[in-house]
Amino acid sequence: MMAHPDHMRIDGDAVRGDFPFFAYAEQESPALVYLDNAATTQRPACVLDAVNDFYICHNANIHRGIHRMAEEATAAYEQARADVCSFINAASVSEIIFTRGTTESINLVACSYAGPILGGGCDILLTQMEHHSNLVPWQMLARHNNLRLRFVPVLPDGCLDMDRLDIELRACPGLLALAHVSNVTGCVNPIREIVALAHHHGVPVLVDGAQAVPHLAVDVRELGCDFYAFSAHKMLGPTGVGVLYGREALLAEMPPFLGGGEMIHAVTLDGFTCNELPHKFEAGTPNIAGVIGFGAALAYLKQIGLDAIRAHLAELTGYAWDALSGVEGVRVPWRLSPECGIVSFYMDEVHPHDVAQVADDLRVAIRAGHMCAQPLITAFDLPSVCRASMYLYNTASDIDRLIEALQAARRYFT
Amino acid sequence: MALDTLYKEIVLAHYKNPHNFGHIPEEWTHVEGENPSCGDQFRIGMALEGGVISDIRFEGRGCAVSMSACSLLTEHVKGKTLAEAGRLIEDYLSAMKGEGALTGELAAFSGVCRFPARVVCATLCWEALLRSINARMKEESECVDNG
Repeated sequence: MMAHPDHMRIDGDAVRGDFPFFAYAEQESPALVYLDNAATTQRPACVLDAVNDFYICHNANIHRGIHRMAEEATAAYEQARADVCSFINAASVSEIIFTRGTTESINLVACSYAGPILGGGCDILLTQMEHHSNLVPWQMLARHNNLRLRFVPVLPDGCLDMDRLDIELRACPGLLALAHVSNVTGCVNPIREIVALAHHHGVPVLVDGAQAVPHLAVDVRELGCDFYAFSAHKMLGPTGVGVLYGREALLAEMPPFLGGGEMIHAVTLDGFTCNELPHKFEAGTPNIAGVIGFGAALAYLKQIGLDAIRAHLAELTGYAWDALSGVEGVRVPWRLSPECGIVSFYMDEVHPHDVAQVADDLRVAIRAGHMCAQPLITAFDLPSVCRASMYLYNTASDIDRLIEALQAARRYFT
Repeated sequence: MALDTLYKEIVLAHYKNPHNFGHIPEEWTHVEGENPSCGDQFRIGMALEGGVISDIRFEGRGCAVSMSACSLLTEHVKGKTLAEAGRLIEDYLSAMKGEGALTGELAAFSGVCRFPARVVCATLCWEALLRSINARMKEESECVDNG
């Protein structure tokens, strides 16, 4: 693995050596430029090895065997929980629940926290910039529990309208659920300030951190939020693994989410008693190998350093911004945020899908569409957009290739 | 370039200068086709005279494939009876699923099948118009039955 002793600068080309995906992709010419990291990242060899090593050397079910392999598997799984706990500075491992991803984490809160306590006429406060995964679960709950959903609008620069947020919070909604970082604009919401304001009005806060944890040094205790959800696969970990952080006092009072093995203490034909936290919320055999792989991803990120990644992406985003403004017809409809490597844009007279198709033809992978945030795209009166999203292994020459692709699209269609 | 398989010359020509594109009179029969994941939105309107599509227009926005597919659709059904147009569309949709071949101008879309994510662009308006034609024919046959 590449060592980065100064924890300050990243050499994208050197880091790429840690990722077998790129060695494979580079067999083709031109080599693939991967700019769809906000959708999912690639995985370093240490993560793939951890997953493989588990299946070869330690494979057993967890929390239920007496044999040695089961103990090894359990220890490795629980070590990953401890790693997550320390990565986001939670108070205790009881507050770290493994799920299938951010989506499941949010659904868990909707079903087990909000569902039982919020009823007829209550409000849930969301924002206009939410990913569908932090919108649809609330629409489903609203229908079921007869709740009203209210939305904090987004300003023309893509940032949250903080004045409106303040006004909405005064009405004391039952919950505020919002993204830490927009997956479309890359806008970073001031969560600490927002949580303080919400708590002042007695409103609990769920944060969708899917785009934040891979970049920002998230400290859930410093943020003060009640729930925080994120996914492993957007931060070099395996797919099918996510985390829900919840304050222990809240989790302890909540009924379980899914029923089955592992989440129970004792079962009779008449009923069951719940296991203790966090197992109460982890019914069935989890993605053990994936969780262990996630632990390896966190170790890798720690070694590189999130500060260094953020500095690298700020530099690349600035470079991309300058280069994009030189391409005829390219427009960024909101203010660019440099922290998390997300640059969404559109090209006059060329549909985003056609732009992405030409880019793909030149082996540049970008995303086109509504980015699972249709209400936000619609608010800007756009049919869809293109998004280039970068991570630690991207380089300025990747941006050069993107710009060539955009120029080619322009030539092709106009 | 693989791109030319998808974007044949005729596709690009119809994208840049779509035929029968423009305002649809309210009294015409219309139907909407939408693909939220790309943000494509079309409205197709047809004027019917004695069971014949005497005029047709479309409006909306979409990618090169969906725009040109809609433009060519309007060209090909204009002047046909509802039944003829329905059959033509069904043949086109089957060919897009790999059953049967496209001929003439429409053969320009035969390469789309190699881009599975884009098949929906090439069929969006065709499916919408087929819905409208089938509904219209059903209405007419019910009128005959009742009449």
